[in-house]
Amino acid sequence: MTNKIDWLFFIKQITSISKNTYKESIRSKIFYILMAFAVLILGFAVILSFLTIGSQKRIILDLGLAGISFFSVMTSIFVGIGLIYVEIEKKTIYNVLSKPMPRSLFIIGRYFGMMAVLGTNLLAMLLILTVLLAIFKGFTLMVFYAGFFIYMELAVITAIAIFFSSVASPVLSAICTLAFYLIGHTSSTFPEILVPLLHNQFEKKVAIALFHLLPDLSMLNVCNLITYEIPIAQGFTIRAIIYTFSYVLVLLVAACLIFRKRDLV
Amino acid sequence: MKEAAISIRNLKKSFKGHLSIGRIEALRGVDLNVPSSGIYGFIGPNGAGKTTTLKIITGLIFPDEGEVKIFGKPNSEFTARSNIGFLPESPYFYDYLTGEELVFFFGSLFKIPKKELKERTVSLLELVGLKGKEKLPLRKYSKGMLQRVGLAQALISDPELLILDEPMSGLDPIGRREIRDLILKLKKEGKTIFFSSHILADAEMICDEVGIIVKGKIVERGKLETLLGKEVRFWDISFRGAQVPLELSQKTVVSHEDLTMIRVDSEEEVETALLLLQSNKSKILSVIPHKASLEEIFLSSVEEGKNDKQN
Amino acid sequence: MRKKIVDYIGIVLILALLSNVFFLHSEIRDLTKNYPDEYRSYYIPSSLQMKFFSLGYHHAFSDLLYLWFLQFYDWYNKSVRYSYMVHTFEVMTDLDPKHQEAYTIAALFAFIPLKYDLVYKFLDKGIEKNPENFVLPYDAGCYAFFSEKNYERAVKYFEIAYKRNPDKSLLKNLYAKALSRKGDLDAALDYFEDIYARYKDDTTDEGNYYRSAAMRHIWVTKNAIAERDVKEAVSKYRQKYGKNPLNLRILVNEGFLSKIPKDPLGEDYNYDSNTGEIKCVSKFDPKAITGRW
Repeated sequence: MTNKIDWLFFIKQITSISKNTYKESIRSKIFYILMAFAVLILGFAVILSFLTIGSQKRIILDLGLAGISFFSVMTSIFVGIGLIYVEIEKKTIYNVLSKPMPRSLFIIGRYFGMMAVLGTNLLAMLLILTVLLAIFKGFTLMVFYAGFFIYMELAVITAIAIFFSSVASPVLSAICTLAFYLIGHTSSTFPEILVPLLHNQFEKKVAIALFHLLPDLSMLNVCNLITYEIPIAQGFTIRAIIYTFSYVLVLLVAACLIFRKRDLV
Repeated sequence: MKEAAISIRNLKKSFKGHLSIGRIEALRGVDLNVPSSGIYGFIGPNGAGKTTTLKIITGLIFPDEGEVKIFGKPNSEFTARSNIGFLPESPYFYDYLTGEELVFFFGSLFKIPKKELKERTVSLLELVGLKGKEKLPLRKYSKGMLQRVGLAQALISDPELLILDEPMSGLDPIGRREIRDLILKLKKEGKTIFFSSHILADAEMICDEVGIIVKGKIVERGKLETLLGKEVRFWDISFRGAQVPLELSQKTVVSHEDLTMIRVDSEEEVETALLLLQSNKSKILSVIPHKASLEEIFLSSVEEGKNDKQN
Repeated sequence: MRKKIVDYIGIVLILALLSNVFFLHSEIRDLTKNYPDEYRSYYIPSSLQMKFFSLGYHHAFSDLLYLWFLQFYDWYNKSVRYSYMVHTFEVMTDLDPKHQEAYTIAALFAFIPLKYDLVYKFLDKGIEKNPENFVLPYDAGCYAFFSEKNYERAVKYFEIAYKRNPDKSLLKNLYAKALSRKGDLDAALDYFEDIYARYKDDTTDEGNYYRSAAMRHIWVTKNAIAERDVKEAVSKYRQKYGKNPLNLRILVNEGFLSKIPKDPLGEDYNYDSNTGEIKCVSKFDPKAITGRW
């Protein structure tokens, strides 16, 4: 036997875990319940659009994208927090981890599996939205651009969820992940709202440092630009992708480091 | 001599107590040597540290002290696990998968070509007697079927060493017998089997060698024959009769309505007892000779362990 | 048997409670029906708070608020329906400053009770927040021009609209019209002539419309300029000599007029020395004009 690390084999193991995670979600009820909710929200957006004076397209687009984003995030949080913990709780993890596989691959595999599930979910909802928009004469492919950034947001949220899932119980993880979601969507208001409230110079600096350090999820939200077809700033896409990947990597590495040394009692 | 399948030296592990107050010592220096052939029984009462030891061997938890080698390889390397198959205690599997999918999934974590893996999945499910049930989701499996599918997934990589945690607990007599037969069959195929149990009868029937663990320490180990000896120690006679003869009343072990069991120490005593009983018109139900059983060794070890602790 | 009885009692109990709930609910609704209207107005947090709570989905929240705004201010028989209008409007448009319909509809709702200050306040915000939008200043101009008849204000708004979209003849035309109503005849004439020049040879519907409109406007404006000039000169002359001049040449000779004014067809005006005013003799005839201009 060689001591060389067999990357191809690792990838195969990650794929196996991911596939299994995908199957797990696709065969679970919660997935379909959340999907049904998302479809309901889309239908609701259409019904609301009849109340407006002006373009129905706008209402469907705004409420549709917000609804899709919200329900995807909820799926991500409430399925994501169980990704690791439930396996420990149900003791299914004993079988997997007793196989010749580094533990970190398990976390990575679970993460990618979850992302595949969320991707499928998101794509389905975006397709429904596109069809609805086409019916109301507002067909735009920019929906998928917004969807891509919703997916980026989901990548961060799922990483947060999986991080907490590998260290804490589901309830605690859910609270922490939700808190991060809220922070991520409100941290962009720090300079506008929080900083003027602080009097101390030092506090202001801390607030600004946090503003730059905390995950800024609302920055990834381009839904508002799509409505008016405002061109996205040049170089935004690539930087946003790198930003997301960095965040995801930080969280996954942290999760792996903690999980590597954890006793699975 | 061939390299030991498992060699454990001075293994220590303690857990946090309730509400993180104090520490509970689960293992207090376990030494164990599992030879690379035959069936090794790892026996101890509940809470003795069997599962903890097994989890350390398979890398699920980490010891405070000591080392574990699997076929000469320290188990901290994940590759050390490529040659073992593990069946956890009352295994829980992904119940949304079918039996076939489950075995295939676990196999895909090993370096096995896909085509071979598919063939092996089919043949293993047949081996454990789940043919025709492989398309059923696991949530519809009975406990015995789960145990068997667990064995199949442990065998998927064709490992030299099988580690089974309480493979027979929670099964009905038929299920236990099936698992027992399977283990013996695997032994014939040349596999090393290391299993833990608190059910002595099972161990006594199939083990070549045992280690007894009590309160986190190995108190007895060795070949079963040397531990047990050959001599008959005593006989149990049970009979049905309205009255117990006066001579035998002192030897009575159990008496329930008109059923009585007595225990005698020598062959002569058996004969006299039988004569007495016949004259008394009692109906003799059984005469069973007893060798030194694992139970006795076990019980005395447990006693020792208790004393040890007190000291 | 006993079990069945328990079942029946349970069902009866459920039905009784449900009917109780039904009647209580309608009774309570009846009791609260006569509350003052203020009871039905709702509190909306400030825009800063809403920005915070909307978690970045500003547009979606703005849309919801807009839909509610439409339903609430459409409620004609309620006296309180204008009470929170400004606040609601501010929150709605702070959340989504580019929501054009929000501005126009809010202005429309403020226009219904003829609250002109609100109409312009709403539209001003939109004009400021959307530096490229010409519909909002156009709307504001229309309110000022057609309804309030405040031509100075109309000029202000139409000018913004025209400057934001100089290609649109509608805006240019309105701007020129407002200018002429305000009294800025020379500037108005320039714009009318521009429009005429643009559509001179255009035979589309649009071209025909703007050409004929421009012709009439030019005709009227040119006459008005001449009338104004003569009137001014006459009043100056009267100040000096205490009477009206006998003819227009005197005015030119005295230096009060640069030249004798001609009507749009090049004919002389009919001057009345008693009133000191001129009158156009020529008849407005598009065909005659087309040949000359």
